[in-house]
Amino acid sequence: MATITLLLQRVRDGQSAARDELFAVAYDNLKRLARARLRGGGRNTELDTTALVHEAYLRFVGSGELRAEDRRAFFAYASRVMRSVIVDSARERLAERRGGDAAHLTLTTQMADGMSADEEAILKVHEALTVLEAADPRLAQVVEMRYFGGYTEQEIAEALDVSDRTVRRDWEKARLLLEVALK
Amino acid sequence: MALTAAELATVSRLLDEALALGAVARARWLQALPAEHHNLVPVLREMLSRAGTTSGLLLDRQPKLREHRTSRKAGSAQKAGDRIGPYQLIRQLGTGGMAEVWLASRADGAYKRDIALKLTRATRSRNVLERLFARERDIQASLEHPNIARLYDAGVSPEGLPYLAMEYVQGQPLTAWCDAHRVGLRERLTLLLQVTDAVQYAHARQIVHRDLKPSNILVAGSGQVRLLDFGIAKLVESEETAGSIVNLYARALTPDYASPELLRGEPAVPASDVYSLGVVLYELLTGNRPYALASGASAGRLAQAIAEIRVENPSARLAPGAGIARATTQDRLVGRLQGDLDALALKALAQLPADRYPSVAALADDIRRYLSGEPVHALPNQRSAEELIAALARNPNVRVKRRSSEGASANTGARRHADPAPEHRRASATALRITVQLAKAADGTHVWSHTYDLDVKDRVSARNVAGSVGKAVEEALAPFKSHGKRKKR
Repeated sequence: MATITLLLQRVRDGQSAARDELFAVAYDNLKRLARARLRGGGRNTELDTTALVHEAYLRFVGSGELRAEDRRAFFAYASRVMRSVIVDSARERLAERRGGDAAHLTLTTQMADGMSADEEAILKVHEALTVLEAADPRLAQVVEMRYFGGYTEQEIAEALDVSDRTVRRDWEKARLLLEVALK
Repeated sequence: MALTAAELATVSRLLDEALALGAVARARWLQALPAEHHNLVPVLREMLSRAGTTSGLLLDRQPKLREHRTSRKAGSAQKAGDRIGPYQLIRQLGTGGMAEVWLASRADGAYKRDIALKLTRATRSRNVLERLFARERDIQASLEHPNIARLYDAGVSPEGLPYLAMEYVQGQPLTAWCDAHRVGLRERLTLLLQVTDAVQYAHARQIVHRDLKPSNILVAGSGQVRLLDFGIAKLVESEETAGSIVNLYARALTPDYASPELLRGEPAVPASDVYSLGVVLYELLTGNRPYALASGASAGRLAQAIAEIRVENPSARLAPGAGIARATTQDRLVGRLQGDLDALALKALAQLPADRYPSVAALADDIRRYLSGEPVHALPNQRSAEELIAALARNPNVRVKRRSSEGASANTGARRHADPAPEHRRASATALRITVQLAKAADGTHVWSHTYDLDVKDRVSARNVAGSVGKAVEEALAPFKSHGKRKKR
């Protein structure tokens, strides 16, 4: 799919409108891909976000077509998109469980799997991250990529063009900040 | 403590300094922090104590994407057009762990109306299911009430899939409908009376709902309330899981509206519905449920949580924006809940069934009393005060007058106070303190006073107190007898 490649180039060239468009297209693609994978998997399928992002890259960008910096940008971007997909679906699930349109699901509220706790944790991290973004954008990005994107330290280091050690330090610091200061 | 972005930036910078130091040096570094950072010391100390550990609470579990419930088609073996027994599926209305609901119609054209077909997982052997469903169908068929959605049929398809064919109700859950329409307090209570009518009707036929909650109480566009799923909770329960708290989750009953006894796995009684209606009432009044039981908690923790349930007065637990959703202000709403409605809700929510309203009819009666401005039974003070006054009035030397009467020189002031006692008295508007003061009517000189504390649930003790107050007053009056002093209220 050339669109994403094209949009990435436009973003690199400084076209700010392309940024929103890239986000929208990537969001849509990732969500569709996630749905397709979930549907194939039966009842209790869980999707690894990392695998999803990598697959998205292969499908929507194609291997070898991108310049190194665009590739880096894609992965940084993809984790942001992934965050949106995850946060939105967590919100939807919570809303549903709180009675939204579940009028006929009266005996079926699921609780055994502790999903609710997960969703609340996700939203908590998301909100905390929003505060952290204002205080220390790079820390926030590291958390976004690792927590929502599921990247390894090496992948994050590569995408942000910093050393592994820096990523490790950032992660440790971000973890402390998020868990203590924002709880 | 939640920090602002600016504080967080400072903490982040300070952490860089500290993390570069060894453990001993860090402690010294903390102490040496300039005064401007002193408010951050506790946070920094906790962070440093966690540094290097791997006990990430939030961040350790990476989120995964799961299938969205309404899009959970993969879990369903059914698709539109399939036949289940005599029914043909039209479209799915919803799914979940234990059941899915489809819009369906009779495939054999026996009647035209669309129905909601609830398909549950087979949890028992076919024979047991068939017997159970047949019996239930017969019981339910007797439920004909304008506020109860009909159960048309219940059976097991040739493929062994248990199904319940119910009236298809299009409506919104009670609480959501009320909020969406900014329905005021009185109208909310009036709507609830439609619910109590229906439940009362079913109780008279020995059918307990067992799973009353807003999503089972739908309001159609016309404002008519319809109750779904009457008495069918037990059909989806499996034999192995019934009666055990461990399997509450397996049963997938919503714990937030379930009574303590039901959560403990005891059989449902009419008082269980009173309790669930109490939770619904609470939510209608405040926008909040009286408490939240953690989902996914272990059986032991849940049992403990149930025993420790303490219900606060609704007036003390308003949700943000509750006033607006009830077409009033937050302050006014607090004022309107205090007293009668607080007491009413807490009585319905008493931990022990015996402390609740004895029936849904009694709950409805008290709601009607509130609506018509009569004293509610949930707030027994007035009644006890009346009894006390009556007892005193029998004393020929005492004339009891209303407090408002001019020159009142004595009064019995009944006032409710917070009940510190644990256990079953948590929902208590039942502790009563009566202070009797006796003074000379002529000049207001204090003659005698006494304070009585009693539990007014106990009518006998209320009468006894009335009797002993009367006697004490008489004794106190003895020296003045010749002057004909008056005791007034």
